[in-house]
Amino acid sequence: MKILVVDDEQDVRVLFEQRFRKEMRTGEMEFAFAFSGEEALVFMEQHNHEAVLILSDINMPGMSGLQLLEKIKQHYAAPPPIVMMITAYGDEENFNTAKRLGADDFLTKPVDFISLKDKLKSITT
Amino acid sequence: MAKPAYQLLLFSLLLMSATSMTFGQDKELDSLNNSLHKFSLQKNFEADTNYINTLNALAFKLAYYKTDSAILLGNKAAALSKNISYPFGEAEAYKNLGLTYNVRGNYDSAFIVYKAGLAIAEKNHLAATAGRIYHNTAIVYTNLGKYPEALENYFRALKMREESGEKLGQSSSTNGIGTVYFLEGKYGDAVKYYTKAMDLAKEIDYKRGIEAGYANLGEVYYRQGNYDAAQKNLLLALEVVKVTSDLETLAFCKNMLGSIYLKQQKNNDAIREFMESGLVAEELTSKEYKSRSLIGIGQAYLNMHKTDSALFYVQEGYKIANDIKFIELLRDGSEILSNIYESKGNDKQALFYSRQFKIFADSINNQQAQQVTANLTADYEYSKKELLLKSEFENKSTRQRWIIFSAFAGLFSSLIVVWLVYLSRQKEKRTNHLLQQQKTEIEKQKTAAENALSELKAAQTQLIQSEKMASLGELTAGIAHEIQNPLNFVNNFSEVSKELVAEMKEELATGNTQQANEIADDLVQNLEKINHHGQRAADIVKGMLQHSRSSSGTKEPTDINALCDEYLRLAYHGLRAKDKSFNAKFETAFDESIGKVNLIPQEIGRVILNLINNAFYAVSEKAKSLTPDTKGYEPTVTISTKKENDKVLIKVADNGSGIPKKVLEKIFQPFFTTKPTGQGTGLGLSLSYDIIKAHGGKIRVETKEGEGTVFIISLSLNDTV
Repeated sequence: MKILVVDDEQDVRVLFEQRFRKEMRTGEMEFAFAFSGEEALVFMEQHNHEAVLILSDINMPGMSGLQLLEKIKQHYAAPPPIVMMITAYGDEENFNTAKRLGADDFLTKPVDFISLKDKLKSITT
Repeated sequence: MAKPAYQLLLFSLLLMSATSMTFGQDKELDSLNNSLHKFSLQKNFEADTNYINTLNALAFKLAYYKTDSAILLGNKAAALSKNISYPFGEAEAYKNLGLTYNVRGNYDSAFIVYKAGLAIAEKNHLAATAGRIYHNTAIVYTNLGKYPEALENYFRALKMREESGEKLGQSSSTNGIGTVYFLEGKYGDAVKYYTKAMDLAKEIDYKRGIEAGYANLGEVYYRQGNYDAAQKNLLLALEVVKVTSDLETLAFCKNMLGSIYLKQQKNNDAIREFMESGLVAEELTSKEYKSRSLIGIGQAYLNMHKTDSALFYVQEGYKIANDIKFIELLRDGSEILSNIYESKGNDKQALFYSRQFKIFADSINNQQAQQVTANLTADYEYSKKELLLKSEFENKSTRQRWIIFSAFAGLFSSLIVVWLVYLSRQKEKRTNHLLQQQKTEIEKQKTAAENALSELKAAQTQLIQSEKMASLGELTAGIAHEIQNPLNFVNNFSEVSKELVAEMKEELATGNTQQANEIADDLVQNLEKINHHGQRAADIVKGMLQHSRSSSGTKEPTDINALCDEYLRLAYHGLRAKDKSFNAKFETAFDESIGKVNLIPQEIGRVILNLINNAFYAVSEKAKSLTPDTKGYEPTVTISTKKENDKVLIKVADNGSGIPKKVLEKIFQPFFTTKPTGQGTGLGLSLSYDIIKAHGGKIRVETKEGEGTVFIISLSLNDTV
């Protein structure tokens, strides 16, 4: 299963590669990285339906995570990829907007990788 | 300055001249009482002229301090004298009664008994007694300010005393004439008569007369401004005082000398003389001289710009003057106090005492005006009487009519003069009142303006602080985000490293060194990441502290590109935190060749933050106002740096709506804002302008309505490190 991680922080890639090193080695999970909403859309365009799960930060320069969410849910209707939003501000407004736009889950930073791993495994199996 | 009121001293000197009020007096009184007692044991003692003479002698002694007894004794002596037809006794009794009434301030009664005494003395050719009575009458007239009458009586006294050959009396009366001229301001005549009186005193070696002559001449010369002559005479008077030990003259002369030295700006000499006169005044228990001396010392210290000492002495003197209600000293004291407070910068007190001065001066001027009026009337009465007397000896009829006509003409002209004096005083009063009002009004407005200014200054300080706090508030959300991310990385990389170490141990246990080495490389990378993100968080905290610090920092070599980048991120995240719907693209174009520029980073940072915030605000406002037709608008903020010759340019550009022309000229003014009330302090650009100016740089703006705005900061690179 392919997972697309969208975050403007470059080090997120290194972090995920280490956190999921076992899953990546066994081929259980496959990760792709985009550093902005725009980049994520380009990836989606090029790798149609490859990513079944998208993990996106909300606060990014340019296109925000919520705008990205809206676009994905509009353009990739069948079957829609699972989108999980991550934000540093665990506020109600962001949560509600994300829910309204069809986000499947909502995570707050700092990300608890153990529970994230469990969530991802339950989805992929 | 202090003008010694010598006339008072002079009168007491002259009155006392016949007798000396010392301890010897008690003995004299005792012996007089004893002889009275002896007389009363004799037969028919009340018809004894010696008894009457003793009664008169006792009455004279008591005239100054036991006026009731003196009046009783005088009346008894007059009655007994009448019984035995003893005119000398009767006239002397009336003379003593007059003196006693004068001491009591009972002038009408004094005139009646003097008149009765004179009638008897002249009828019986008692020249000496008549002379004394005329002299005493003159003193009463002088006290009343009736100078023509005073002069007339002095001259008659002088004539009588010339007849009787009394030199001492002649000296006293001549001195009296000098005093009247002095009081009338006829200083030339005063000098003439004072000198004559002194010559007479010298003939009989009458020390008190000589001393009074020198002292009086000293005062006249002082008034004329002839300070050298005044000083010379006062020093001569002091030589005589050494013999007479007359404390009052001593105090007077020292005080006059002090006043002279003040005029000559010999302040230290003046202080010395006033100090001595003050000590003598203490001994005399003379409050007037004590107050005079203290005020004099204060003036001297003020001349020397020793305002604290001046204030101390004048206040003391003023207090005493107030105790004895001595208007002239209160006037001088309040004038000096006003000057002292003015030079101390205490405007309130200065104004208070200048008002006091005006009040006291007015009161003295009024007295003088009344005096002038009284004198004019008296002059007229006197000349009328003189003319009538003359006409008695001359042809009456037509001449008399002419005299009466001219008398009325005189009266008329006197009245006109009085009226003119009155009018000018009224006008002066009105002008002064108006001036006073204006001064008070100006003073009031000045205070109000000063208060308003200090309030404004306080408000300005507060506003600048609140502008700082407001921008700090905008930053806080951005900072929270900025700090959260590196902290997450620190936590995650350390956690994952723990797992990696466990894995590495497993690999090493199975002897798989290649895998173990790969893991070790990852660990090194992770530790670098932890260090990097920890540093990132530390930098943000440092920047935040610098921003909130109220004291302006110091210039230091700063990487302008890093500074711009830092504040761009802070501004962006701050706005995002505040407004979730906000979004804009930001671009950077940094000239890497700039190197470090010497500047105060938190100050320039504040300017950049402000410009970026404004740019983001502009683009988001434009985005909000867009209709569906104008789609495709991409809100963009660009920050760029560029090195140009010896300058570095920082450009903050937005593609917002631009700044309308009529607003453009106001944007750097303090408190000007286009944001809704409460959202902007209106100080951002104004402070930015001040900061750039303080760095010796320039800030300008280029804008096109509908297309966007560019703010351009140019800083000199001469400070480049």
